[in-house]
This record gives sequence, structure tokens and C-alpha cells, in this order.
Amino acid sequence: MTRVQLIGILATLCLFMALYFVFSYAKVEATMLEVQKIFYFHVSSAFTVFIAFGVTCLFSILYLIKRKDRYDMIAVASAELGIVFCTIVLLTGPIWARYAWNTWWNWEARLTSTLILWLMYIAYFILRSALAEETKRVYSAVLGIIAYLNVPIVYFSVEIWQGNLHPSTDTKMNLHPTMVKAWMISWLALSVLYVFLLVLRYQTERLKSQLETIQYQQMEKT
Amino acid sequence: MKGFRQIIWLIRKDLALQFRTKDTLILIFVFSILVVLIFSFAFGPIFPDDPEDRAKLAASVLWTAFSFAGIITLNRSFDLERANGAIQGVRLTGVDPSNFYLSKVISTLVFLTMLELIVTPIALQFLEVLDVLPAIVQERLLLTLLKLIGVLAIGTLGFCAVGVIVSGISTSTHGKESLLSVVLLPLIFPVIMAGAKCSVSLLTTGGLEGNFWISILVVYSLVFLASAYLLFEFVIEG
Repeated sequence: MTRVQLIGILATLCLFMALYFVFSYAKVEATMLEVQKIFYFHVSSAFTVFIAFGVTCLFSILYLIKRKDRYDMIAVASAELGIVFCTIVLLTGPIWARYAWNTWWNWEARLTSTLILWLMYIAYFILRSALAEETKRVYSAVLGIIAYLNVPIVYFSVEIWQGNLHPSTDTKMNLHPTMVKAWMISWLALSVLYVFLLVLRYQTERLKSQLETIQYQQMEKT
Repeated sequence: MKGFRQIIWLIRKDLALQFRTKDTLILIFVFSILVVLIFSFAFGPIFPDDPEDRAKLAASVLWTAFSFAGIITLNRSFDLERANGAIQGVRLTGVDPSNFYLSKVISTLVFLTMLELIVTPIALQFLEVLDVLPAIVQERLLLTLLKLIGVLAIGTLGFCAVGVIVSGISTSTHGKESLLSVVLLPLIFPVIMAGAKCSVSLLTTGGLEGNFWISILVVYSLVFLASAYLLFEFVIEG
């Protein structure tokens, strides 16, 4: 069994464990009842988004310094996953909002800033697909760094732009112990899933670049 | 000292290019006026009565107009650099990439501030804001206008700090200049938000007392000036 398969199995196990902890171990919330369960995946995905884009930024810096193609591949793979998890946050957010605040969407601070974050990284990919082969890696690395620098500023400014409807950090600390445990485990599960997908995506990128090299060599011959 | 001289010469080159032909200046002037006009028509019959709402409308129109005018300016200015490999020519003279970046930021800033100086009073009149300003602002109208231009200029600095590096990247994609707006607008979101808030505060109270948005504008500009200053080398090499 390869290492990737091992991580895959681990991710599956963690996800099932998270499902168990979320749905039967954690106490049902008093006012929102079962709908509150979405919190475990919503917040955990949001945390994973920051990790994913952070990894993109880190490997973009490494790429600019060391110029090794594999750093670029990791950065791209991670940015893609960041978008996936960000989409999950944006989809689960409105479901929560519908029940907690009785609206599907409002310009609430963190919803707004997550949307901007999502748009920033979508733009990263639009730009990347339009760039020429030889400049693509350097340019997307530069953009990966700039976009991540912008994240705290966007969050901070949107936060003070709107009064915050989101539960403050204090209330999160006041969660029932079973809820905290379930939340921690679902975060762990999503992080392992992220690592698994990252490795898979990185391998695909590597295969793609190998294929391109072979195609190029064939063209040289003929 | 040498770096400073380089920057001055590069700014002179940029501004000379812009003012000899004047086509960009005319283009963005007409464009901004058109944006204001479209908003005036769209809201014309229902201009909000409340002075604060009117100020909000004016601020959003101004920042919309100047963001898009800025995008046009940046696209044009980097098109000139990319055409016939002009940028390579500049690099061959031994100019430091970071100095090139700073000069580009400053020349674009000067250019856009001039535009703001001309368009802002016209826009305020078109949107009928000048008539409903509170008495405290009316008394110091000129001072408030100058402050407003100042705020717009600080916001434009933040806009240019990111805009120059992003347009350096996006203009390398041939024939896809529209990419700049897609990439740049989400990135400059804090600038537009903070700038609009500051403008509203100026138009309603005539001052920025106790307003932290101005510090967001300044912090944003500094953070991005510093990071783009370091990163521009990689953009220009491609």
C-alpha cells in the first residue's frame, strides 16, 4: 500500500469519526436544534481555508527563492483546495444564516470577507490560465503572496465596516464540552482530507508536467 | 541619491508620454464623466433627500468612477511599456526594478489625482450634493473639497501600489487586458471601502475626527508599497 492510500484511508476514518461525534456524541443545541450541526463543518472548513491559502503563500515565497517547479505545483494545488473549502464555507454559511438570522444572505462581516477572499483566488486562477507558460509560475507566485497579505486587511476592514452578527470568540469558548470535542474532531478530519487531496493534486500536477516533457521530446524527434 | 535621480527621470518620462499625446487623459476624463452621468440618470428622479444618503451616493459614484479610470490608465501605461519591448529598453539602462515600480506608482498617482481634481467638483454638482451639504460643511466648502481630494489621493496611492504590480502581470497576457479589473478589484476592496467611508464622513461633517478608516487607507498603502517594492523584480523579469 502506498503512502497516499494510507492517508486516504486515514481521511475516510477521520471523516466517519467526525460524523459520529457531530451527530450522536455532541449535544443538540437548545435554540437552533439540529441545524446547529452545520457549524462543525462550516467553521472547520473556514479554518482549513486559511491553512490552504497560507500554504499557497508559503510555497509561492519558496518558489520565488528556490525556483523549483514542485513548489509551484504545491502552491497551485493548495490554492485550488482553498477555493473548494471556501466554496463549502460560502454554501453552508447561508444555510446557517437562514435559520439563525432568517435570511439567506446579508452583508454580514465574515460572509462578505469570505466572498472577497473567494473572488481573489478565483482571479488567481483566471490570471494563471491566461498567462504564457514561461511566466506563469513566477507571476502566480507573486499574486499568491499579495493575495494572502490582503487577507487580514480585508477581514479587519469588513469587520469594522459592519457590526458583527457572528458569534464572538467568547461564545465559542462557552460551547458545551461535547460540542468542542466534536468540533475539534471535524476540524482534524477536514485537515487530513485537505492533506490527502493536496498530495493527490500535487501528483496530478507532476504527471501533467512529465507528460508535457514527453510530448515536447516527441515533437523534437519528428 | 542615484536611485532618487532614476525615479525622477522615470516619472518625467511617464508624464511626458502621457501629456504629449493626451489621449489617455481625455479618455479617462470622458469615461469618468460618463460614469457619473450614468449614475445621475439612474438615480436622478430619486436622489435621496437625506444629506447623509446623498453623501453616500456621491462617495460610491466617485470611487466607482476613479477605480475604473485607474484601471484604464494602468492598462494603457503598461501597454506602452510592453509595446516594442520598451520595458526591456528601460531595463538595459540599468534601472533598478524597484525604482521602476516606485516611479510608475508615483506617475500614475499624479495623473489620477489630476483627474480627481477636475472630476470631483463636476460629479458633486451633477449628483446635486453641493446644495444639500450641511451648513458646517458649506462654510468651509473649499477646505472640505481639498480634504476630499486628499483622501481620494491617499486611496489612489493604495490603488496604485497594488495596481502597478498586478497590471505588470496582467498586461503580459496578450489581448486580455480586461483581466486586470477581475484581479485588481477584489484586491483593492479595503481601499474602496475605507475611501468611501472617509469621503462620506468628509461630506457630512467636514472632517475626519475619530475616523479610523483613514488609518486603514494608510496602512494598506504602506503594506502593499513595501511588499510590491520587493516583489516587482520578479514581475519585470518575465
